[in-house]
Amino acid sequence: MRRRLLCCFGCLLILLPIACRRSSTPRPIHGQQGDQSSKPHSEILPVKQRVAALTQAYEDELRHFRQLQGAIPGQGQTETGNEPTVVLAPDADDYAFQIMGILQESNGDLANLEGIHWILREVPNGPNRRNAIEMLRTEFQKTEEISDLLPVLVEGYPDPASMQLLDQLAEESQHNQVKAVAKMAHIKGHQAILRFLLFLDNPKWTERMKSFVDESTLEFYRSVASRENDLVERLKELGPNSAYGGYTYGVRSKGRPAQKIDKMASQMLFSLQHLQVGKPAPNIKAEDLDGLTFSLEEYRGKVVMLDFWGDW
Amino acid sequence: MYPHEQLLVKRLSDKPFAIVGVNSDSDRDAIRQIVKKKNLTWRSFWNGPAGKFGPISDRWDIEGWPTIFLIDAEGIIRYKQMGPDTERLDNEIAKLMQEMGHSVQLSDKPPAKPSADSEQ
Repeated sequence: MRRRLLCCFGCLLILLPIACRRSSTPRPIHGQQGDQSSKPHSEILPVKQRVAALTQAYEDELRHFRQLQGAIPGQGQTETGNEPTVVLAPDADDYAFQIMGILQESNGDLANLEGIHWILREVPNGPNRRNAIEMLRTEFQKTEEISDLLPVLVEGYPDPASMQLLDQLAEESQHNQVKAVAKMAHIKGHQAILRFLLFLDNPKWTERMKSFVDESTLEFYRSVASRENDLVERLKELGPNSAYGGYTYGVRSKGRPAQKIDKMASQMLFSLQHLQVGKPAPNIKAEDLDGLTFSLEEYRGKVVMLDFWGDW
Repeated sequence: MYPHEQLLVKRLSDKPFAIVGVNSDSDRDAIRQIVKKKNLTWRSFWNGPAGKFGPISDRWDIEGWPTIFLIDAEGIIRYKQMGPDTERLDNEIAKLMQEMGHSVQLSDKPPAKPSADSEQ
């Protein structure tokens, strides 16, 4: 289960799987911890290679796990039921712990961004993620390269530290590129929080949603949500003629291709202003699955259930 | 979701109600086969070869799938839902049908107190 921006039905609701993943306490790591203090590894191999070796090991383990999962239906997954679980999914957090260890040896090295990016992408919560965000804040705040990593901060349920970092960068960065992406990522995070609360308020999902965040995060979410009106103002700042609109967002996002920030902003504004309950539905005129053009307006006079679906 | 949608189509077949899909599969031929095989009778726009990142879902700012909008007979958006909550959806559809003077029962488990719905 990897994090996905857009989820299909099974794992749907929003990014449930991200938050579902365990964030266990790091287990003892393959017996080589003893060496770490005696000799700095950085003298042996550059950080980049050591991080790459770890992430590669994780990928391998994951692939192996999936193969077993496919070969032995029902095993490998922590399904409820009484059968013993034979194969465990690799725990990204264990790897994150090791990666953080490597990164801490070489403060400020731009190559560290690779490792931080991996952790932000694969680890939804817990101390290793927090440390990665903190490292991003303390060591890379002034770099331009930080901008590529910002979207991934808000691809799950954003943690307060991520939102605060984005706020700070949007205000203080010397680079318009960073400011623009931080502003957009903050908006995306804000929307993710509103979605979270929407699910939280649905009795059907409340319990489940509650299990994903702690009290203080929830309190933070409520305070963000109370500033919903900010969204329009913030989006207007990113329009086509603004100083920030021309940049690209999501260069390193998984799944969704990178997008122009001004185009995103105008889509999101359109949604806030027109795609709300009580507003006239915009028309759709497009081809059906057989290539014949039809339009939503043809259904006037009927109650229409407009269903964005896919077969996954 | 398919069984639920099929049930809706069936139960509302003689009422002013329609499901209109926006399909986000990038392979149009493949999805056409599935539609045929599973006998999905409602019409769908195709979101184009970019799949979930196609122009219609971009325009409608879709953040998760499935997302459902209920649009009334006047073309006004009345309800928006992300994710499968068929019970809630059924209730909302029933309300809109009621407004048009059609009393329908969509859920298998009927609401305990039908009178509570007419709150206006």
